[in-house]
Parts: sequence; C-alpha cells; structure tokens
Amino acid sequence: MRYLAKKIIEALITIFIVTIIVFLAIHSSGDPINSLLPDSATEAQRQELTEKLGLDRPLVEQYGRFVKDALSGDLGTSYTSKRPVLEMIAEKLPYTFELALVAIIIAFIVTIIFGSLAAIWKNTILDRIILAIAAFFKASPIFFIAILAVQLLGVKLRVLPVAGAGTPLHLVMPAGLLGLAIASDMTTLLRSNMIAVLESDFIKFGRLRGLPEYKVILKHALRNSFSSVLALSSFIFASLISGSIVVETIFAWPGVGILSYNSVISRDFPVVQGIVLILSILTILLSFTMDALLAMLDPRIRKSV
Amino acid sequence: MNILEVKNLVSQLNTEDGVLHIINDVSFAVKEDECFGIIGESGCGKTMTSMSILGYSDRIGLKAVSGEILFKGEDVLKFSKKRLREYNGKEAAIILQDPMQALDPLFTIKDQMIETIRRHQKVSKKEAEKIMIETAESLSVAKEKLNCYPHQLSGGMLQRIVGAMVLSCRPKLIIADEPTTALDVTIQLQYLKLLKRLQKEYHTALIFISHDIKVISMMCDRIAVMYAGEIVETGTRDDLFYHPKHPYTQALFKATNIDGNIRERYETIDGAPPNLKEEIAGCPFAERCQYATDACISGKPEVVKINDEHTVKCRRIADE
Amino acid sequence: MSNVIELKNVDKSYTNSGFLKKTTCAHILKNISLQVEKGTTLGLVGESGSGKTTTTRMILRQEKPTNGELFYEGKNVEELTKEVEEEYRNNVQVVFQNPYSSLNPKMRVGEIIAEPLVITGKYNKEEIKKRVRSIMEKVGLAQDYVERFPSEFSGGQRQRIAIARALIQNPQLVILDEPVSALDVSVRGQIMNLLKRVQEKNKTTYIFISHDIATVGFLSDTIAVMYFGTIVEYGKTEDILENLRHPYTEMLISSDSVRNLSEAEEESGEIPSHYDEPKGCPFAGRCKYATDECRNVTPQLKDIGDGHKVACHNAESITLKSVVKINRRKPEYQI
Repeated sequence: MRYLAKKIIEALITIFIVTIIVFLAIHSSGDPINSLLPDSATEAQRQELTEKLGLDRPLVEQYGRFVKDALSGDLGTSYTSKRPVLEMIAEKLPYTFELALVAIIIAFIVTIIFGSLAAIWKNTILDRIILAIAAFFKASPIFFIAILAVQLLGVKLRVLPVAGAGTPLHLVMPAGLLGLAIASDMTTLLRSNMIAVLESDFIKFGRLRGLPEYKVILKHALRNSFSSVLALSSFIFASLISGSIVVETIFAWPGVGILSYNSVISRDFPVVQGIVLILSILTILLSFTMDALLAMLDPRIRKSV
Repeated sequence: MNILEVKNLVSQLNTEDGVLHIINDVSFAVKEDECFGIIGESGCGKTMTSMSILGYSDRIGLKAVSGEILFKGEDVLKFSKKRLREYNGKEAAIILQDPMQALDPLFTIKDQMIETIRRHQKVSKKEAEKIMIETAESLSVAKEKLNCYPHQLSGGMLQRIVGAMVLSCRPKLIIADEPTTALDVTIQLQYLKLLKRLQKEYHTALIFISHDIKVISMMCDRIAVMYAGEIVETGTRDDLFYHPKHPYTQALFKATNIDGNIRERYETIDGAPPNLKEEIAGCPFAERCQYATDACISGKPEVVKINDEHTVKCRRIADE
Repeated sequence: MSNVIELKNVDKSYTNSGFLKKTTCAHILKNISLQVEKGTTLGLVGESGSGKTTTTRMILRQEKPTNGELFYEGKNVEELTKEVEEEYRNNVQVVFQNPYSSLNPKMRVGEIIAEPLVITGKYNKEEIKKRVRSIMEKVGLAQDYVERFPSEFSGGQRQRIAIARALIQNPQLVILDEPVSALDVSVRGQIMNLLKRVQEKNKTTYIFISHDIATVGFLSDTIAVMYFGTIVEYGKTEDILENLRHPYTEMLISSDSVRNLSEAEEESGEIPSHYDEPKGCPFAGRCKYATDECRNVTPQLKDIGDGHKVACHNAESITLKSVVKINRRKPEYQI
C-alpha cells in the first residue's frame, strides 16, 4: 500500500515537470501567429490576434492559465480548427489506443516466442536468423520498414490495404510493423537475460530434481528473465509514441499521432500541450502498471520497500 | 550391493579455450546405504564426476570418451531423455553448494517443494502438502518458513529446505556437492549431523564431495582422493587417516593442519595442479612429488591393493 | 608502542525511513573499541552478521561511524589535514577475499600492481618498474608474469598479485579480509606463510579478518571475537585460544576441532535478526550456559585481567574447553 501511494505522488510530480518542459519548448519553437495569419496581415492585425490568444502575457501566467483550465477539464481551443482540444483528442485517441494495444500484444508474443527460442538454441542457425531479423528492425528507421512493407504487401502483392482504418485488415500492417519494431529490442534483451538465467543454479537444480523441461523454461526461466524487459517499459512506450506518429502518417491512420504531427508543424499550442498532457498521464499510468507488475512478479522488490 | 559403479570413466570438457581432459580413468563403487566421500581441491574433477553420474554432462559440454556409470546395473551414460527424467530426482538427486542460488527467487518454498513432490508421486495437492510438512519437520524446518521466499531465509535454513526437497522423493542416491561450504562454521556441524542421521533413516547412499578433510572424515565411511581428474587413493576413513599411502594424500593431510594447533609455519605443497589442456602421460602429481622418478613421469602407475578396501595408484607403493 | 588505528566506542546503524514508511533501524555495530599496535596483527573473528565487514569498511573510510571515533596514529580522522589524509589512503591497503573479482581482468598483472604508485603521481616510469619487479620477487611471482592477464592464473597466484598490489607502497597497515578462505587448502599455507614472512621483515601491521579461528590464530597477536555487532571477547591470542572465556568463542573453536559428529549438537541455533533484536545478550538464545540474567541484561565488556576482556555475565563462573595448543616451532620439512 505504502509503495503505491509513493508511486502515485511521484507520478503527479513527473507530470507537472513534463508539462512545464513541453510548454517552454513549444513556446520557444516559434510564433503561431505567422502560420495563422496570411502574409499580408498588418501589424495591427497581428497584435490583435496575439492579444486575443493571450500570447503577450508572461510565460508563467500563460502556464498558470493552462493548468487552471486543465484541472477543470478544459484543455483550450485549437488555433487551427477552432474546436475544443479535448474533443479533438478524444475522437482520435481510440484509434491510437487500438493501434498501440495490438502492437504491444504482437510485440509481447513475438518477444516471448523468439526471444526464448533464440536463448534455448543459442549459437545455432535459428538463433542467428532471429538475431539478424531483430538487428534489421532495430537498425532501420520505422518509416523505411513501413515503406518497404507498403510496397511489398500493399502494392505488389496486394494482400493488405495501405491506408485508412476501415477493417481489421487495415490494422495489420501498421500494428504489425510497430509491434515488430518494438519487439526487436525486447527480443534481444529477453534472449540475453534468458541465456544468463539458463546457466543459473536453480535451473540446474530444477532439472536435476526431474522437472520436465517445459516447466523449467516456461515457469522458471521465462519468469526470471522477464523483469528487465518489463523495466524497459517506459522506453518501449516512448518508442510506441514516436513510432505511432510515423506509422499513422504513412498509413493515414486517424489517430493522435497524425494530430500531433500536424499541430507541431502549425504551432497549434493548445493542441500540442493537450496531447502532451494526455500522453504523459498515460505514460505514467503505464509505468505505474509496469512497476506494480514487476512487484507482483518479483517478491524481492515487494519486500524491500 | 553396489548402487553405483563408475568404471574407467574418461571425459573431456569442451570450453572456449579448447578441450580439457577433466576426468582421466576414474573408477569407484558406492554401496547402498553407505556414505562415500570424494576429497579433492578445485579443478580435480569432482563436480564434473557428479554431473556425469546424474546424466547432466551433455548440458555442460562434457563428453564421456570411454567408460561406464552403472546405476543399479544400468549405464547412465546411455540413458534416453525419458529415462533421465525418471532418474533425476526420484532415483538420484543432488544437494548443491549454495542454497541461496539453488532455489528460484520468484516462488515460495512451498510452491517449489510441492512442484517437486508432485512431479514424482501421483498425489493430490493436499497429500503433497502433507508430505512436504512431514519431510520439512524431520529436518527441523518450521511450517511457517515454507510460505517464505528464498531471500527471506538464512543459508542454514535454506540448505535444510533443499535437503527436504531432495529427501521428499526418497532417492536411492544423493550427491552432496560441498553442501556446507557456503554456511557459517557454527551452522555446518548442525547440518552435517542432521544429514548423517537422515541418510540412515531414509536408507539412501550418499556421495559427499568436499575439499575439507575434517568434514569428510566426520561424515564418510569410505573416501576417495581425487587429483587432476584421477583417483589416487581410496580407502576407509581409518585407512586414509592412519595409513595414507599416496604422497598427495599425505601432503594434503599435513597442509590441512588437522589437529587445529597453531604452528609457526604452515605445511604447504609447492607448485600447482597441472594444466588439463594436455593429456598427462604419467602420474599427474609427479611434478610436485618428492619421490617422483622418471618412470613416474613417463607412464601411469597401476592400482595397488593394500587391503580389501584400501587401494593406491602410485609407482613407489607398487615397487615396495 | 603506538597504535596505528584505534576505534573508540563506534556505533553504526542503518536507518530505513522514508515517506509513508515505518522507520526501521538496524544496529550493525554497537560500541566497538579496538586498537592495533604497530607491527602487530589484530585478528577479527566472526561469522556472517557479526559486523566484521562493516568494521573493515569503517577503517577503510567507506562508511562513517554513527557514533564514536576513528583515530589514525593518535589523530582523529575527521580532523586530518589534506596531506595526512592522503598519507592515510596510501598507508591503509586491503586484500579482499575473492581473488577472481578483485583484479581488473582487462589490466595486465604489471599494471595492476603498479596502479597504486601510478595514482599518487609521485613516481616516474623507471622507479615504478623497479618497484614492481622487486615486490613481485618478494611475493613469489615470476618476472615474466608482468605482461599476462589475471585470467591466466589460479586463485592462489591471484592472491599473490593482490598482495603485491597492497604492499607495493610499503603501507603501514594492510587489512586482510578473508584472504585465504576462497583458496584450496594446499595453497592456503603458501599465502599464510608469505604474509607472515612479509610482516616479520617489514614490520607491517595487519588486521586479519576471518571466520576460521585457526588461521586467525596463526597470524594474530591480539584477537577480537565478534558476534552480532559487538565484541564478545578480546585479548592476546594465547589468552583467547588457550584460556577462552566466552561461550561463543568456545562454539567457534569446537566447531573447528570436532572429530566425531556425536560430539556435535544438532541444534545450535542461528544468529538473531537485526530487525528483531533480542533483549539481553545476543548469544543467549544459543548459549548452553545462559541464565535469566543473560536473557534480560546485556553484558558489557569487562577486563578480567591483563587486557583480556569478555562480555559475559558468567565469565568467572563457567569453565570452558580449550582444544587448541600453540606450538610455535618451525616444522622440520616441507612437502
């Protein structure tokens, strides 16, 4: 219980800090006024818009207003579409969520199967193939892989649709690629952990007590190897977010990724701030869940707090 | 009746640095219900021998070049994977050196014990629990400790739990590989006394491996001395203590300072054990032995029988 | 004779407190006072949980005492000037238990041994080479080992390398933390003999830590027996080994010298937990001589004559078995 409370407070502090950082970053990246008004606008018109949007107030005040509004559920209004930010995000979030969820599931399945196989059959051809594929995914930027996939599966072979979000089939390529991209890091990590765990005394003792091999691997080896993969979760989530921006853009998947890309380009402060806030809350929640999962998994962590 | 007979075992270990000739013609027999000791220092091959006896050699890159290991007449080296699964735990088991490492840190003791019991006996969960509690009690492990995780218990307690796990399956042969080395010295004796009592109660043969002569002398009826992958002397405890014949055995006893008295200088054995990368043509101890002759270096000595149980592998003794 | 190191009434506690947590406190060391005279060896005997490791870390200044003081050559270490502090660091060296993890596997033997000199920045290349060669000879390492890596050597040889590294600056004090516990029996004697020879020649001061009372007795002039963070017996080696007064010392010695399992007890208990400290004497739960007073009142270290101190209520009344004899004659031959 105390462990949880501590984590919640840490989470809130982190969210605050993240929003301040992004606020400062986005405000120093350029003036939205230029992208909102045509080049022919007069100085007076610029001045008027600046005042209207409150961009001439001191930064601290602007931030204060943002926080105050956010706490009451108002994330401001988009400069470009004039719609409430919260509404814009809310309609796009489910798509991104669906994409991310399927990607994570694919990533976990791929990691567990191939990471374990590579560790058990280490230094054989199977291992080397798995490592090579993982290296390919790790080294290639996601847009490169995406374009390759689109060419091969979408255009040449015509097995999968390349854009939009109509059917489950539409989800296959974007989620699959995103999942594989994340899985590449997780798989090599699981493999190296498992190789170390398989050398340990308790695995030896388990086998020498007569435990069947499948139990030794699935119950004992896998569980012990998994904790550091889980510990990677924040990093994984960060990759998910950046990956989904690219993937959504390429596959025209109507999620938050595409929205954030467009808003940053157009300096649409309220939308960017709103997205960052929501995403950081989600990241904290995820990290929180992962910590809880880790504590459930490893009794040594539980007891030390 | 011999429960185990190791006959002329020669094994090589594949390592990154090359092939090590780690077991060179090892032969010994262990009777039912007996406590048989193997003394040797690091690198002498005692742990590798125990892995071979348990059929674990393949997993560590150890290949038997020749010889047999007969457990109740069957050659362990030829066991199929299926046969091994029955053999491990139910017929032959091991107690490892470090109990903290021998158990999975993520599961409770209870979980791991019941897992072991149910693997070898067709019993319900409740019955398995009963067996677990009974065995644990016979090793003075309180019921409450069984719900703990390994990291919450002390080394001494964990080694008892490991003992309970092993004994719960009633194996006919238990190998204890340096079981007290990782324990505090005031805990060691308790454990040994317990182990000895249980060995008799459960009617198991015990192969006790150690580098500590004092410990082996307390536990074992018959002892083999191992050096550089060979057994240089075998005998009863009295044979070895009062009439050690092999120069290495004699030197080892002197260096151990058995009576515990404090002297001005320690007895030592100069030099170091041979490199096992090459096959040694003669006696492995020759380069450190004060009695070594050219014949010792060029050819292997034969085994000399001094009495019923006492044998030595030494040219000097053979010549006498 | 002056003291190189002195600990006065040192306590060390670790407190685990924090936001939304119950504060727990583990008293690892309680009222430790000990001295080491120049040119002699102080032996610290104890098992796990005794506090000997923490005491070592205290002397190496990796930890600060919660209470109490540490003196170096009569001066309080907290008040040392910068030069003297540097002198302290160069003069207090350590040899650890595990020869496989105390040497950097990527460094050559010569570099490992030279490192302490290189760090001071006071010596040139030639001088360093000369000193490395000299110490290697003293310690029994062949000269052509300089270019090799630790992985090519056995445990005993690695310990020699560690000892060479510790001795190259001719330190005043060397802390030997279980230096032979991880070595084979036939090699232990080589290292112990070496350490003794070095001390006889250079008048180095040692603090020798071990759980094995026989090896401690070989090298030590004074012994402190530690249990659960306190010193339970303290005195000259002869007094401790031949005229022991504390039941724990008796348990340690007899564990080492038992010949027959029938003499051993099947239940001799375990050390208590730091988070659940027992009232009274920490050894009372395992002591066959324990009385009610023992279970309720913590005994203090009392001098029972000639510097021999014991922390036991029954020190005067019980007779304890001593099975160790000290025979400081050189052996006639060496195998």
